[in-house]
Amino acid sequence: MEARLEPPAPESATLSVVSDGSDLVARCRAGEPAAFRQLFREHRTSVTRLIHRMTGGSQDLEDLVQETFVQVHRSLGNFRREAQLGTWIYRIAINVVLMHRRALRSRPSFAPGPSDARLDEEDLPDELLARRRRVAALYRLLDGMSEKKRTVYVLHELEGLSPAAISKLVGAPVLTVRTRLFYARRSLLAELADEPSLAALADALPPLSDPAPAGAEPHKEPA
Amino acid sequence: MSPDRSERALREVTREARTEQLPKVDWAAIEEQLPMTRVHTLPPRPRSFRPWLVAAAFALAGGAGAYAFTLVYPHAAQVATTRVSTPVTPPAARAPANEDVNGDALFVGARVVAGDFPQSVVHAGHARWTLAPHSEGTLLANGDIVTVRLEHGSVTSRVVKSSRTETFAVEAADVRVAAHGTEFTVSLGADGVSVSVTEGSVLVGPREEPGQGQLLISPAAKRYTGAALPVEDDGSGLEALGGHRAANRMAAESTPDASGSTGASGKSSRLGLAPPASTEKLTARKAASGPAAGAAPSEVDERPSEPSAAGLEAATASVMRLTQACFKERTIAGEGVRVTAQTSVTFRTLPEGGVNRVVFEPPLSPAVQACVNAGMGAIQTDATRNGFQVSHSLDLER
Repeated sequence: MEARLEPPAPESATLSVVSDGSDLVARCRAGEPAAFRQLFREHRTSVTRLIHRMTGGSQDLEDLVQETFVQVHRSLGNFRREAQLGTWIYRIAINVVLMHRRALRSRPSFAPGPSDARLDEEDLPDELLARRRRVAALYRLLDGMSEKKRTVYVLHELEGLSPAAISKLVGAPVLTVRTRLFYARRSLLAELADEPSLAALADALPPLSDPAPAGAEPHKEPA
Repeated sequence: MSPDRSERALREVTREARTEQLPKVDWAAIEEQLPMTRVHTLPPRPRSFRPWLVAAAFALAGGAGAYAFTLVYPHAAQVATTRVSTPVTPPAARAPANEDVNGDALFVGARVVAGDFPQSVVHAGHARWTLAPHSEGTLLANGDIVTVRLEHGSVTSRVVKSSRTETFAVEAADVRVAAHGTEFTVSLGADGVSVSVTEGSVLVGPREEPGQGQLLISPAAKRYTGAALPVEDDGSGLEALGGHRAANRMAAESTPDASGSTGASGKSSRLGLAPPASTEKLTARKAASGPAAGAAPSEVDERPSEPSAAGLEAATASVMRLTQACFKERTIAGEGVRVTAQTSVTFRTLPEGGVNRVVFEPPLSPAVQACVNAGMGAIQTDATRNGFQVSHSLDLER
């Protein structure tokens, strides 16, 4: 049984039980108007979260979500049930993001990459603002990475997918996925100091021998 | 910064990114634009037809203030540009014309759409497939075997020769066209799937049964139905095949026995047999062009429709012996040097008996090929109404 592509995240916790998709696909194929709406509502959160993380908070988020579901609609006739519906939709979303990034690269750019400048416009508590800046810095580092490494890092570390599930999504052997993951981490570690907010975070961390502060959440490896 | 601190900082910021709240998304607006409310896919509308975009253009052209705003807030301009994109145009189609797409960077399921110009996808050192204008293909597999599904239109593929038996395949409707090292075109039309081979050979068979089917050897062109059964091609099916049409038509007509249906090739025996199609028109053409001696059009042809299994086995054994002998004789190697080769041989039995068109894939040396060609005349098979195509893998050693 393939692992579900519904990582435990706050956004998905509010969703009702997601159907296995077989009946839904059949209804969509039959042209039932409400079926695709249901499919969209069941998967829109996970798709949006994935695209948001893969693009590092792109301004084109809504367009990419829309594009993903348009392609899902167009390709439902080709869905062979070799994978779960969620996996299949994830795959389409990944491709949409990659195509979008490629299109962006081929066009002249007048804007910098992911930036935390927009955060200054918001009236946020200091800690929340600092946290958002760190996350934006992480996305900047990811943005400079190759597509393959960034994709597996996002899918594993942020989406919580296993290397086996990722290998099915990206069409690469599990060993290759692990290798890309290793190099992605190494690349991030090497460039961490280039981001002031992340360097400050590292400096602020207590030495390893010190006991963890009360209430600190230990890191859990994704399943 | 110590490595330990870096690792912990990375873990921490990754955790923060994982628990970050999603930005607010206007689900209703997205849902409204989705095709579920439109049973039929709408054609992409020219952007200039959007009234609010026209208004935006006027606003932009209105004065230096708007221009300055665009410079200061480039993201705002990007948003405006993106929002007018029609949902029916996938991003894959937006690659500039004639710019090759790196197939190795595509993920399985990627859809490539050619606009007004052909769109090529290149898998470095492996294959190049080019969609004809307004054609669409989906990458089904990437890696050792690249598989492309032709959604509609036409795709021309050029595959680098490889020692592996199969490295590239195109699926169209229920037909699968697998290549070893070749150049071929697959076109999907309302009347079936057209396959045109301009170099090398391809294996055409049912999509659900990879490795099975009929070997189509260049130059040749055939149309196939959903079950990978060839339909007669008196030229009409070749009309849409493009540049090599004339050559292919000549080849198809000169070797009418080259057509075949899905054969009973067995992987266990490594022997692929493909009986040819026996449509009435094809048979009539053969009879008109050169019937067997003494046969009149009104007479009943008592020859068996196809060679017996024993006859085919004997012919195959003869071809293999001949090839092995030629390989030993014509392969140059020093004393004590062992030379081996793996290839597959394909030949056809002739209706009047005998075999011809021996093709090795990957090819053997010209000297060995010439030797085999010279010796083929000595191999005899029973006369049949139709020819028969045989393929067999070979392990040669000197």
